Amino acid sequence: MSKEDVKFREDACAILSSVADDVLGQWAMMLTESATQDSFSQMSIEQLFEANLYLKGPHCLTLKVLAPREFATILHQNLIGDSEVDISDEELMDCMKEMTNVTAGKLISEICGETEVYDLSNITCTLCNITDINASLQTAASIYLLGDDFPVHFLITEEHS
Amino acid sequence: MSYRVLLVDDSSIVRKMLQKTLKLSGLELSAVFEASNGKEGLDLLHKEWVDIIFLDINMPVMNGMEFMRILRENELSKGTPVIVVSTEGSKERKEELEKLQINAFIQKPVAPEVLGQTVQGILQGGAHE
Repeated sequence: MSKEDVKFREDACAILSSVADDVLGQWAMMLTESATQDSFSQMSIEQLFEANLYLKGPHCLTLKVLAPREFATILHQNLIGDSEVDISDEELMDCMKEMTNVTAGKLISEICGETEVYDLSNITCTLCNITDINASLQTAASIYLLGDDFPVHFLITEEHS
Repeated sequence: MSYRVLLVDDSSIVRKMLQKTLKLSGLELSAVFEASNGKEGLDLLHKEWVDIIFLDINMPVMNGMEFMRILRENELSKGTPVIVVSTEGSKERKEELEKLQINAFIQKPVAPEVLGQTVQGILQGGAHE
C-alpha cells in the first residue's frame, strides 16, 4: 500500500465519522449519539438492512451501512413525513439506499473536492441475519452511531487491484 | 404562479422526498408527474406538458444522460428546463451535464430554499398559472 493510499484511508475514516453524524442529524433529522458494536447485541436485533454502495474511481471503495428495521422505519418517517403503519421492506430498503447514497456523495466531496470523478451507480440493499455479517463487522474500518436511539453501522472497505 | 413538474428518479422514496422538498420551498404545484427512468419520462412528455423536469443520473433502462440527449433533440421538449439532482458533484460530471444543456445542478442533500431559489431563477416569468 502506498503512502498516498494510507493517507487516503486515514482521511476517509476520519471524515466518515463527521459525515455520518451530519447525514443522520441534518438530513435524516435524527438525534445522534456515538455507539459501539454492543449496541446491536444489547437490543437483541436479529435482522438488519444492509446497504452497499460500490464507489469506483481513483480508489475503489465500498460503503456499507447496516441498521435494524426500527432505524429504517424512523428514517422513512423523517424523510417522507408520513406515519404509515405498514411500510414495505422495499420502501425501507429505498430509504437505506438513499441514505447510503447521500453519505457517499458527501464523503467523496469532503475527501476529493470536485476534482475526482466517482461512479456511485452500483447500490444494493438486502435484509440479512445479524449472524451472517459478524465476520465483516470485525474486519472493516468502521463507526457506530445511534440515530433516535437505534444503532447504525457505517463501514468503508477499500479494494486493491 | 403554479407549476407542472416531472420527477424522473428510479427511487420512489426520492421522488416523494423531492415532492415534499418542493412543497417546503414554497412553490405552488398544479401537477406532479413521476417517472422511474428516462424512457418513462420521455413517454410521459409525449402526453403531458411540464414547466420543469427534475432528473436523476443513475437509473436503469435509460439513464439521465441519455434522457437529456433525446430531450434536447426533440423540437417540442428541447426548451424545457431541467434540474439535475444528484450525489455526484465532480467538476467533470458537471461539465458533461452542461454540454447536454441542463439548466441547473443541485447536489444532494437538497435544501428547500436552494431548490426554491433555483426553480424561481429558471422559471421567472415562464410558468403557466
